[in-house]
Amino acid sequence: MFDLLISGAGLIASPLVIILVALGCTGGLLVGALPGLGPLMGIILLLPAAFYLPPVAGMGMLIAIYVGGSCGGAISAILLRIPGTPLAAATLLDGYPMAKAGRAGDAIGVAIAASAIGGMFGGIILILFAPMLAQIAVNFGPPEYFALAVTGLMSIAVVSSESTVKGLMTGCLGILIAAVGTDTMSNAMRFTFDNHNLFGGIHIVAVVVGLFALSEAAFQIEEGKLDARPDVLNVKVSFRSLFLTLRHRWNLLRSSTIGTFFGALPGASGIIASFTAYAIAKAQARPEENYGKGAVGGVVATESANNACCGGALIPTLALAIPGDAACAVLMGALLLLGLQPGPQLFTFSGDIVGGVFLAYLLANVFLFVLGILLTPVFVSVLKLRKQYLVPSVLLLSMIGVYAIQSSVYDLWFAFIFGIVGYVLRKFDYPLSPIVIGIILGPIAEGNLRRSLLLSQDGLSIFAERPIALTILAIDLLVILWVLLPRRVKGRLVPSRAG
Amino acid sequence: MKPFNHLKSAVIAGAALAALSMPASAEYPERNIQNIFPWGPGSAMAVTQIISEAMAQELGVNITVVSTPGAAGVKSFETALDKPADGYTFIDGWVAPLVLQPLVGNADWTHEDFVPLWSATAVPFAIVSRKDETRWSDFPSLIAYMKEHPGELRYSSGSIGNIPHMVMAKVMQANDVYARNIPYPQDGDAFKDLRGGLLDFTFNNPTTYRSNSDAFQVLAIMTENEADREMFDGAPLVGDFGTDMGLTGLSPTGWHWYVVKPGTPDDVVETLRTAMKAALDRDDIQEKLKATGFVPTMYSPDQYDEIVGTVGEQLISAKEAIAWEADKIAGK
Amino acid sequence: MDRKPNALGHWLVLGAMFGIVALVFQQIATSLTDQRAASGDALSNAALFPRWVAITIAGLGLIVAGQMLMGRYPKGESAAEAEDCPPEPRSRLRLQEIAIAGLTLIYLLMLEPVGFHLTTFLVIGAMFLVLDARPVWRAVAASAALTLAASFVFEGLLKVILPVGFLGFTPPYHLLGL
Repeated sequence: MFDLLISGAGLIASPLVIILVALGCTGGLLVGALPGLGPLMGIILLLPAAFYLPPVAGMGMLIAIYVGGSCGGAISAILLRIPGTPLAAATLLDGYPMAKAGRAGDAIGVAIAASAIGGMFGGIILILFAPMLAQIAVNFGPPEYFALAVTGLMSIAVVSSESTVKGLMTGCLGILIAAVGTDTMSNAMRFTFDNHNLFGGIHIVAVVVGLFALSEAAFQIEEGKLDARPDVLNVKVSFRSLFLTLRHRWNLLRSSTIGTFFGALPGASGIIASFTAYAIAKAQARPEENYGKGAVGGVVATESANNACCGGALIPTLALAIPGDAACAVLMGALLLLGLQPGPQLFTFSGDIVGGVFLAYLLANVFLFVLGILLTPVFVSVLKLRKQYLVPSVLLLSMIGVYAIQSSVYDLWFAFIFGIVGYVLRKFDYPLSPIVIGIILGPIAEGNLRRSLLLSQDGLSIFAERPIALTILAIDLLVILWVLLPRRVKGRLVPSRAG
Repeated sequence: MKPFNHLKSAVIAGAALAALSMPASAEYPERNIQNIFPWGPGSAMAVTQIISEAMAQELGVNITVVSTPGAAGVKSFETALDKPADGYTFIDGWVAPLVLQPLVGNADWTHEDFVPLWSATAVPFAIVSRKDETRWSDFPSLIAYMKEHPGELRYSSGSIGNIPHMVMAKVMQANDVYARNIPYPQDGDAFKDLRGGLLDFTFNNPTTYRSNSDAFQVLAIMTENEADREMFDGAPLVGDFGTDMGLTGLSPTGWHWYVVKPGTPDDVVETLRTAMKAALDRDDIQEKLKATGFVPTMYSPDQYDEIVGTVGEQLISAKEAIAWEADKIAGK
Repeated sequence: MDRKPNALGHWLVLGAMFGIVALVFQQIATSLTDQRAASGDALSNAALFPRWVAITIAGLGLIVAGQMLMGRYPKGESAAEAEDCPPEPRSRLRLQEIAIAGLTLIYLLMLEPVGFHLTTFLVIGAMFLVLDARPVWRAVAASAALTLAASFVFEGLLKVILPVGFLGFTPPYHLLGL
C-alpha cells in the first residue's frame, strides 16, 4: 500500500496541484456555507475546469471541493442557525447555542478541526482498508439497509429529547415529504395532485432552506433590534480549537468510525452519519455536558462524522466503481474522463495516480484545517452586520442557492411553503431536524423493505436468513424496549450514576 | 456627502447598465448557455459535460449542465420547456423522456415536437452474471435454468419500465422464460447486490463491466451491432444464440440526442448544430467518450425523424414484453 | 403577548397534522387506487408505507392531544421570547415580518419575467428599507452592491445560469475569461 503513496508523492509535489487543492478547499467552504449549494453542486459546477488538467491535479481540486463543501455548511449552521447544506442540519443543534453564548469562533474552529480530523481518519481507512471494506459493503443488501434505516430513525428520539413525541411526528412528516413524487417501485404518482412539478419529488435542499433559513429570517425579525450594531467580540486566529476538539478524543474516534462506515455504504449519506454520531454522543454524555445547549462534543460528533464520510464514500467508488454518494458519482465520472477506470484494476494499473489521489485527499484535509482556522475571523464577521442588512442578504443567498440547483423557480416556491411550515412548527415546539432525518431515511427504509420482500422467495423470512440484518433489528428492538421500560424498573437494573 | 451626488452616480450606473444590456440583437451567443440534463450525477453526466465543454469552446461562452432528475427524465423536459426558446437552453434528450415516457402516457409530447441538433452517444447493454456462478455458464444454460425454475430468478434492469427492462423482457419473452425484475434507486446498487449474491443476473453497461470484469461475466450483448463486442471484451451478441429481439439500430440501447425547444430561431439552431458537430468531430472528444463507455453515434439532424421514429415503433412492441412478464409473475 | 401558552394555536397545528393523515388516506383511496398502486405485492403497493407512517402520526397525535388535555402545554419559543421584550412595539415588528414575507413572494413572482439583476436590486432594496435601513442611499447602495456581488459569485465564478428576464441582460463575465 505504501508503494502507492510513494509513487503518488511524485505526482502531488507540484505547485499546480497544491494551489488547486487549496483553491478547491476554499471554494468548497464557500459553496458549503452558502445556503442551498453544497459540495455536490460545487463539484458539478467546477468539473469542466478539471477536464484539461493532469489527472491528480484535476481530481485533487474536485476532492478538495468535496472536503471543503462537506464542512462549509457548519459555518452558516453555527453562525445563523441555517445549515448551509443538509449535512450540517445536526451541527446547529449545539453549534448555534455555542455561537449564541458568544463562542462563535470556538464553535467554528471546533467544527473545522473535527472535520479535518474526521476527514483524515476516513482517508487513512480508505488507504489501508479500501478493498476489504468494499467487500463488506457488498454484503450489505436491502435487508441490512432497511435495518440500518430503522436504527437511524430511532436517533430522532435522541435528537428531539425534550419533545420526543413531537419529534417523532415531524420525523414521520419528513418521510411523507420524501414520498411525494414518482414511486420508483410501482412508477405510480404519489401525492402529486397531477402537478408535473411534483413528479420528481420535492428537492431536499428546498425543504431544508425553507424550514431553516426562511423561518429563521422571520424569527430574527420578531426578536427586534433590527438596527442595533451587534455586540460581537473580535475573533483572533487561534489554533486553540484543536485542543478543544482533542479533549473529546473518544467521541472523535467513534464519530469518525461511524462516518467512515456510513460513507462506505453506497446510498447511506453523511446526513445519517452525523445524526447517528450525534445521537450516540449525546446518549453517552454526562448530563452536565448539556447537549443541545452548546456542547462542544455535539459539534465534534456531527462534523467529524460527516467529513469522515467523504473518505468512506470514496471506498466503494474507487474499489468497486459504485459511487458512495452523489458527489462521488461525479468524481467517478471525472475519473473516467481523465482516462482512469475505477475498480480493482485502478489500484494495479494506475497505482501512482491512486496514490496521488489519496495524498490529495489528505492534503485537502490539512488545507481545510489551516485555511478554515485562518478564515474563521472572516466568517464570524458576518455577525457584525446589522439585522436589517443581514436578514435580506441571507434570504437572497438562500433563494439563489435553491434556484441554482435545478434552475427551477418551483423549487423556490417549495422553499417558501416550507418556510411557513418551519415557522409554524418552531412556534409550537415541533423540532425541525427530525424532518431532515425522515426525508433521508424514509426512502431508504421504504425502498429497501419493499426490495427485500421482492428479493425474498418467502416474504419476511429474508430478514431471518440474513444474520447481519437480524442482529441489527434485534438490537433496535432491545433499544426500543429499553426506552419503553418504566423508569423504576430501569433504576433497579442499572444503579444510577448520580447515586 | 450631498445626496445629489448619489443621485448622479445612480444615473450613471443606470446608464451603464442600460448600455450593457443594449445589444439585444447582437450575435448569438452573447451569454452563457445551459444544458438541461435528465439524470443525477454519474458517467452519463460526465459525457454531457465533456460534449458541452467542447461546444462551449466553439461558441466562446460557458455551457452549464443542470441536472434535474425526476419522473424518469420527464422533469428535465418540463424544466426546459418552461424556459424561453432562445437557444440559451438546450436539452440533453435521452431516449426515456424523449420517446419512452410519451409512449407510456407520462408526457404529452412526441419527439417531433423538438428541433434536433446532432445525436450524441449510445450505450449498449449486456446481460451479466457473477463470474463464479455455478448454475449456468453461458446464455443458453441460463435460459435452460430459467425454464426449469420459472419465475424463481431475481434480476435487475435498474428501474422498472426503462429501456434495459424492455430489452431484457423482450429477450426473455423470445425464449419463453421469465424472472422477477427488482428496481433500484441507482444502477450501482443493483450491481452491488449482484456481487453480493442477492441478484442472479443484471443488465450492465461497458463502464461498469470494465470496472468489474474480475467479478462479472457477460452472457450476451443485447444489440445486433458487431462493434459493440469490443466494448464487452468480445462477448457474444444475443443474436449469436438465435434470439430475435425484434429491436434494431438504436432501439435496444440507451442513447441521447441533443434537442432544443420548438420556436428557437433557425440561425441559432444552425449555430448550435455547427458547434456540436465540431465538438463531436474532435478526436480527443471521441476518445474521452469511448473511454467512458459511450459510443458517439454521429447521426445528423436530417436523420432524426427517421431514426427516432423507428425506435418509437419498436419500443411499442418491447413495452408489451414488460406486460407479458408482469402477467407471468402474477401467475396469469 | 401574554405568558399563557397559545392553546388555540397548539390545537390548530395538531389539527393540521391530522389533516395530513386524512389527506394521505384520501390520496390512497382515490389517486393511488386509480393507478392500481394501493394494493398488491411489494412492487405495486405504493400505499403500504405511507399508510403505516400516517397511522403512526395519528397515534402520536393522540398522545400529544392527551398531554394537552391534561394541561401540559410545552413552553414554546413564542412564550420564551415574551420574557425579553424587544424595544420596538411587537405589532410593528409583526408588520415588518409580514412585509418581508410579502416581498419574498414578489421576488419569486418577478424573478423569471423581470430577471435576476433588476428583481434583486429592487426587492432586496425594498427589504432593507422595510427593515428601517437608513439613510435611504445606504440601503440603495447596499442593494446594488449585494446584487453585483451575488451576480459575480454565482454567474461569474460558479457559472450558474440565473434568469435574464425581458431585458435579456447578464454581465458578460465570459469576456473577462471567467
